[in-house]
Amino acid sequence: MSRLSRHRILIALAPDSLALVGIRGAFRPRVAERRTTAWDPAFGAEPWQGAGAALAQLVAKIGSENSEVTVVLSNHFVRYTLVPASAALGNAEEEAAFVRYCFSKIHGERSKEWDVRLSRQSAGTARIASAVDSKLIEVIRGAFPAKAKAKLVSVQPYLMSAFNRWRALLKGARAWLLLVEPQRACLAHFEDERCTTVRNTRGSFEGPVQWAELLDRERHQVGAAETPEGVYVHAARGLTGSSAEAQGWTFSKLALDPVEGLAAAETDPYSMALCAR
Amino acid sequence: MTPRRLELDYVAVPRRPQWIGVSFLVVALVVAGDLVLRYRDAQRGLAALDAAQGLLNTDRRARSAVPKERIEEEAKAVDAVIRQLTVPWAQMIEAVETASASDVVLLQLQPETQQRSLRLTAEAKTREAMLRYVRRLGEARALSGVHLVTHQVQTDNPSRPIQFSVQAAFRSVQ
Repeated sequence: MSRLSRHRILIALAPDSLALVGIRGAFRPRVAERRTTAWDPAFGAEPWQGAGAALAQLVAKIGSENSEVTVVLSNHFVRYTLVPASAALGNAEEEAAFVRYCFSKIHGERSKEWDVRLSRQSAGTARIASAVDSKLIEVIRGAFPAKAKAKLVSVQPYLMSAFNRWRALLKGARAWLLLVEPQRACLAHFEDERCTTVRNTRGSFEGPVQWAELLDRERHQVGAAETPEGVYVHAARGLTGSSAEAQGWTFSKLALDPVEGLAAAETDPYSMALCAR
Repeated sequence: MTPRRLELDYVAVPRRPQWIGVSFLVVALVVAGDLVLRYRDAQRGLAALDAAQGLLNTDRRARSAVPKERIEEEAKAVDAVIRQLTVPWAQMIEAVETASASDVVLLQLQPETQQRSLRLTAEAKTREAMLRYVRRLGEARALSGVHLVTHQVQTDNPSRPIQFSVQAAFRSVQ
């Protein structure tokens, strides 16, 4: 498939909903299709089972033409931690084992069933690692048969999509990145282009007040500077203007570039998916 | 500096750093440029060789095929011209003039260049005058093998002259 004429499908997968955006064109991308699906989050024994079933049904409908599919995983499905630098790690296997060990210290035996990834950021510093239930990855892969025209090319955590989209804003200075979803907030602190802390917390984070409380707690725990620092927020709701202030914190909204075929007022349900554009 | 990408993908292979691709591109461009320069030099070398070859071959142009018969005709013509040119006309005429006398009249001088011989036709008043003329011709250095071929008394003429023919060969005189 030509990179100029390719058809990309971006899917945001959350415990209770799925948002799909189909984009055509490389130079002048435009939204060719979009749809959302919701279900009862209590469906299935695992929180991701409803998402897996919805994804399989959806892929069966979109499989009529060649396309590249990127799935963005809600932070509800992902755990993050910072893995300290270690000069003793010789190869990828040792590195993976060490990442598992770091997760097991936090989450115990459950982490054995997780698929882990370690970022390739600056060597010699602590790096971000992620963990996703291996069965969820299997279900997602299984939704895209080898012969299907829709090819799965990427499954990435929401933090990865958002960071890569706005990383230019995080260069040099100290800044916080806050990703807000229903009943979930993921907070990461960056200093000198390094991540110094990452927190993925369940709870109600409706607006700047709750965000400020989360930031205060996190700053206290990691011993970050008391001086005000910028907070970049990507949230479907809770921030109507381009910025807001609460308890000494200034929150700047991370806005997506407008894309043809999707009005700004209609972007919210698809904002997580569009981070991977 | 912009922070490096966060690579936590569960399907895609992590992207390689851009500098690897850029390095390959630079190396490929350098190699391609070098090849272009070499190609250009080779073209120039070939053009120079062609030009030199052309200069050397200006008098060696391929001739069109000529029939053998025509070549032989031309060769014969050339030989004939050469024979004509090599006839010692001056010596021959000098010999004839030296041999001339008042009682002999030269009627015809007929050289045969192919046989390198000379045939003379003359008319003498007397038989003795004829023989003296032949003898003088035989003494000429430019002629050899001088001999009387025919002689005939002209009976229709009241003075009864003798018309005769002499054959002689050219002698190469250095």
